[in-house]
Amino acid sequence: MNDLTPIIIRGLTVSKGIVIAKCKRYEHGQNDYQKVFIDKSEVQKEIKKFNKSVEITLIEINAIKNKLKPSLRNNVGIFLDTHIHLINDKSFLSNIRKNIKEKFFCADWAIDEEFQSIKFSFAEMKDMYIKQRIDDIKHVVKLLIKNIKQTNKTKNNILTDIKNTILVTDDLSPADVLIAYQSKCSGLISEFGGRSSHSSILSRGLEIPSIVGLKNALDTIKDEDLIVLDGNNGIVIINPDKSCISYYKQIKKEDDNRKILLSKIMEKECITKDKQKIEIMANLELPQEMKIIKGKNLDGIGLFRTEYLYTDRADIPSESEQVKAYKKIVRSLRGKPVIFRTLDIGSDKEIPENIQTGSIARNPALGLRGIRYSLNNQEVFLNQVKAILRAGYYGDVKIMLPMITTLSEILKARELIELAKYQLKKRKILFSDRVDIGIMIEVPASAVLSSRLAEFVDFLSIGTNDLVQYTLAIDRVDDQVNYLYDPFNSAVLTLIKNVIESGKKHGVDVSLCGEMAGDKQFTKLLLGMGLTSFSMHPSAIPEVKKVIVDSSIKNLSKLSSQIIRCVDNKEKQKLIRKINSESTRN
Amino acid sequence: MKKRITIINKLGLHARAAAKIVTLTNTYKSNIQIKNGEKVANAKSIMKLLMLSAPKGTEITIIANGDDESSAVKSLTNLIENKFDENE
Repeated sequence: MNDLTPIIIRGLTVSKGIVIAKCKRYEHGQNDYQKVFIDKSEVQKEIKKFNKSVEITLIEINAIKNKLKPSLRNNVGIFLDTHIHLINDKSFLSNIRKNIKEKFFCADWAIDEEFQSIKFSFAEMKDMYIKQRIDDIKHVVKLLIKNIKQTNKTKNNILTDIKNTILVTDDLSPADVLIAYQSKCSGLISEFGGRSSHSSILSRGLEIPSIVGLKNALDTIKDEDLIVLDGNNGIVIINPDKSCISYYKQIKKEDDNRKILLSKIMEKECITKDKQKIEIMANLELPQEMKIIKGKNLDGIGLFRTEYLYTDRADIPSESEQVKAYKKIVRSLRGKPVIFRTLDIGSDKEIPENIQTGSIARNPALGLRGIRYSLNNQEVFLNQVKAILRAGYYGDVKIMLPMITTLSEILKARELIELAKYQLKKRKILFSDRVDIGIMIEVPASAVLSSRLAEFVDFLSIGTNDLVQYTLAIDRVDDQVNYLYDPFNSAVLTLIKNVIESGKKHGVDVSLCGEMAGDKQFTKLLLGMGLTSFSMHPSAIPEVKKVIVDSSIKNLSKLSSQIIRCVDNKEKQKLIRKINSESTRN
Repeated sequence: MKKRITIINKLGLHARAAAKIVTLTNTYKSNIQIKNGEKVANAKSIMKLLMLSAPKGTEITIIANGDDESSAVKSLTNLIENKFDENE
């Protein structure tokens, strides 16, 4: 078959699993082209090339549109309609043809020339929101130019059949992951990205084996290359030889067997060896994920992210649209609690409304995000709170406020929640008056002061992704520093311990909903620190639950205190190994 | 036929709103234009509509010429008055 030498490259493992498959490369639009004057005799040929590109681009966009599930069609779909209108726009098309016919520009140059002149008139606009629409046009132009380049070459398109293949790309957006999932793509590889980015969380949730941060992947991997994607170790092997393939086939088989074994654990109650009940909940960010947790013996949803309702659209979802979405989730939980986190945009999640304000923050993680955005856009917040309260009528619902830094933010938000209740009462609409209000502890300031803040809320939930990022000053999506991201750091652990104790002191529930909760190397440590409630992505639940039911908490507290205090890395590693091997000895 | 009307939806004549106008106007034979101050755009071209730059509060003029001009103006007026059927 092939006698090529295997090539091994390494990236960051994002979603576990082994895939052995052929790959499809996809590069998001690349705009470099040569500015070439064509000969008069070539005009017709160039026009034809352009027409062909228009045709292919339309097919591509329509294909994306048709692949979207009906639930996404309203949000994402209408953006695609805009793109289709742009491509069909007569003045746009005729100006480009004019550039070819009269100025003798080659097709890609002709397209870009028209884009530049549109850009020029957009630049004069005052309305920031409409001004930003240049991005839609830019996207269309990119697609057109890409397809000009490809009219002669083989087609290279994310959508032409990625079923059962591994998708290799420069960067993944959450929408890309969804499309991959819906197209039954078997694995994902991207050049950029970090473990905690939203796309990564999503691929983990949807259980698509994925590796990110694989630099030069597009240069190294060719279309149709047979590769092994080892999501357990973050390794990609290009052109694997026979023995390598059979080795991985074996591992894959063991993986599958283990999955079956773990699924049995899900039927058991989550109680430690020394008879302490530990709560296990799921983190979800899309209603589609409900099917992943179906039939699993869970204590509820510890974090339901609501951003999906707001992204990829120009307006804010109405109260009734949100009620509809939340109600469905609450109902399917049948009385088990659902904690809705109010809108947490900013950072790596942005919505168009945010752009409308005219400012894209240079350092969004420290900018107008989470509760700060909500208190600045009270109508948006009120709308969402009302929808959650209304959904509360159908089950057990809690509200969680993200990015709380100070007490005044809690008080202001509570005031608004009361206002929402008052307005609902006035409208004589059914809602739950007794909805617990909690806060995310993800800013070091609120972790330090958690004992004071706990007096004003019903529960605390530790968001470790941001807490680690802010405590250690490390941007988790910057692949130059993300290796320094260390949840074992003593400063981080001290803060977590402090929050757990604050909760105990005030009789307020504490749970942990960051990535740490779903990583079994932290499970025993957290149990030893006194944590009794874990919320994590559904795919991690079986493994973590297995660790919990095999643990005795009384054996863990001393070791965990040692780990918190230890600042020597080598010594710490030793202690971590020790606590994790501390199993059933009573 | 001419009609003056004010854009009342929150985001103004943004991409989705413009897309809806284009979808609507393309069902009419008449030549339809939208005027904002000095600027005039063909209401069947999304690019031209976007370049009108008409945020909330802008007063525009619809100009239609052709057999079905009155129903075109009427349905276009409805669309704008209904804030492009978007939830705000």
